[in-house]
Amino acid sequence: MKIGTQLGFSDGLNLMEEEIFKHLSDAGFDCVDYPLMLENYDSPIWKLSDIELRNKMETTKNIIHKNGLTVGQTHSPLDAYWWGDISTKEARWNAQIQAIKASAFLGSPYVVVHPLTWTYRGNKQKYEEAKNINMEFYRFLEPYLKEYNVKVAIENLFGYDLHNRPCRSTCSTASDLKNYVDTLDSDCFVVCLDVGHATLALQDPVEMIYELGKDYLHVTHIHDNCYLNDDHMMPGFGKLDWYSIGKALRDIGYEGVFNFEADRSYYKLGEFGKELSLDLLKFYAKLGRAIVEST
Amino acid sequence: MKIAAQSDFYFQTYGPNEGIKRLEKLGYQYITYTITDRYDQPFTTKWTDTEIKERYEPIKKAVEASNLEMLFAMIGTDIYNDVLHHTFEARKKMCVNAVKAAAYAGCGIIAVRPATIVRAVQNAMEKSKEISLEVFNAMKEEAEKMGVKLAFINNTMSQTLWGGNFCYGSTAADLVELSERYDAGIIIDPVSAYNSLQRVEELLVGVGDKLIGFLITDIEGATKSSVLPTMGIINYSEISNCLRQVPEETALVVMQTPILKRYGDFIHNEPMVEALNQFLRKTADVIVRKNEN
Repeated sequence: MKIGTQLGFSDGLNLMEEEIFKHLSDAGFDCVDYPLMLENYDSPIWKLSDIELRNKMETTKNIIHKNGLTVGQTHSPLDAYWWGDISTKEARWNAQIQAIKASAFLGSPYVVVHPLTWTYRGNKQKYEEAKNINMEFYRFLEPYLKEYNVKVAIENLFGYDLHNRPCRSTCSTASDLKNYVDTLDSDCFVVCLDVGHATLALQDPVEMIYELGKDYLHVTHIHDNCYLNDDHMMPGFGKLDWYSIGKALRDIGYEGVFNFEADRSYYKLGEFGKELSLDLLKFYAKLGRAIVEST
Repeated sequence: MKIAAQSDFYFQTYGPNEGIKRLEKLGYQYITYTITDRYDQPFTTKWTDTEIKERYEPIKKAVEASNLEMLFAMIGTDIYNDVLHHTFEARKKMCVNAVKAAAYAGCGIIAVRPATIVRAVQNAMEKSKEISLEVFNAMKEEAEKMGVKLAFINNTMSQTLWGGNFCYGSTAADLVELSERYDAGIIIDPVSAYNSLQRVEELLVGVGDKLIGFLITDIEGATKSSVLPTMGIINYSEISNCLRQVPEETALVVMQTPILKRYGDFIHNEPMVEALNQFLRKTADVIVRKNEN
């Protein structure tokens, strides 16, 4: 199993792109989770022409490849839903298309695209409304996925209840995720399991891995929490069962990347980050291998 | 400053000789040892002096045969900070046995936390001191026989606090008073200070040249679970500045056991453990270096 990560370790280190990927490679990572989600739908990057976007992303891809890495996955902008201002819908969805193109230019086989989500608290009518609008959304993306040979990984999410506690929401369960992929009925769509989100939606990530199996599960987001908040902590410092998660991924024959989305640990280093981030990065790589290889 | 490793995990996981080798490989010169036996376990209830000696003497021999120096032993936190009448004598005996264990393990100093009594008890502060002194006196008697000195760690009230009660933490003044009476100095645990609603910086100012050890450890703010040092609630930036005022010989003790225990399922994965230890060691180095700059 390959090990990947986001690039949060480099924040505040004033590194050139070449240096960032060299550090990742030296630490022992195989793959990069390139952070397109940090760009809002109105970011200038989404207004680039196709040629400009291709040049920019291919330059980055070449640096990544030169360092023996590949882009395992990207993440599209998080703001695809318009929250009452439907006049922004076109621009928001256009950013998603651009993210698909950018992913292709980076050589990424997958782009994680969150379902449009709100918390429906068990209301079946709202569940259907959410599903309908998500089917419209994902089908809108499908022609571009085919053209650029990229798959969308639909990620499990959670919501908050009336008391501001985490709860189930859109695509929170393995059966919801499978239902979405089956309804779309296209090989352009797979599942991204965020193991931290699973616990916040009161799901067992280990059971979800077994239920999804390798046919649905192609992408992971790996981080830890204490079942209270979406902390994106380093595995081991929350309450998830990492031995069982590693075992489950091996048992189903998971062929994707074990991809850390736990950058908050780097931010928590604060002013010590300049001296400790790279050591922490090395530990992450070794920890990832330990989890996926321990028997 | 001296940078020391909490060594008990290595001794327990790999045995004394292999544990020592691993600690040396990690670049440590100094170690501490935490005695974590409990008042209701055979260590206290059944073991004879000979059995304690047999258990702990191999540590002393392994350290003596190495380039490492054992700085001090600490008694684990779950000793007698919840003093109930029916367990008090057993807890006192556990502390006395810990003095013997420290001596056999080659530790010249053993550190203990003063008692904490829930505030609901009448005259809780006076009662805390009274029972602490009773235990310390018993320990001191044994320590003099065994050639060991006593030191003190600021205590915590977290367990009882989250259980709904409220305890006194030991203040800097309490620790100074105790260390003057019992002679070996003070160790500060920043997490205990935080849990006792005390500022670590104030404790450091208060203890001055009596400080012999500072524990490098941290917790997550909301859940109080252990995290890597500098990633949690403890302000190591301010602590680093305050450490300028303490004796140069003070040991920064990298508390490895709570971290390594979190990775119990993977602990035999040597590359991971090595990378984790390198991070912990570097963290201590950075704290010291910042202090020196």
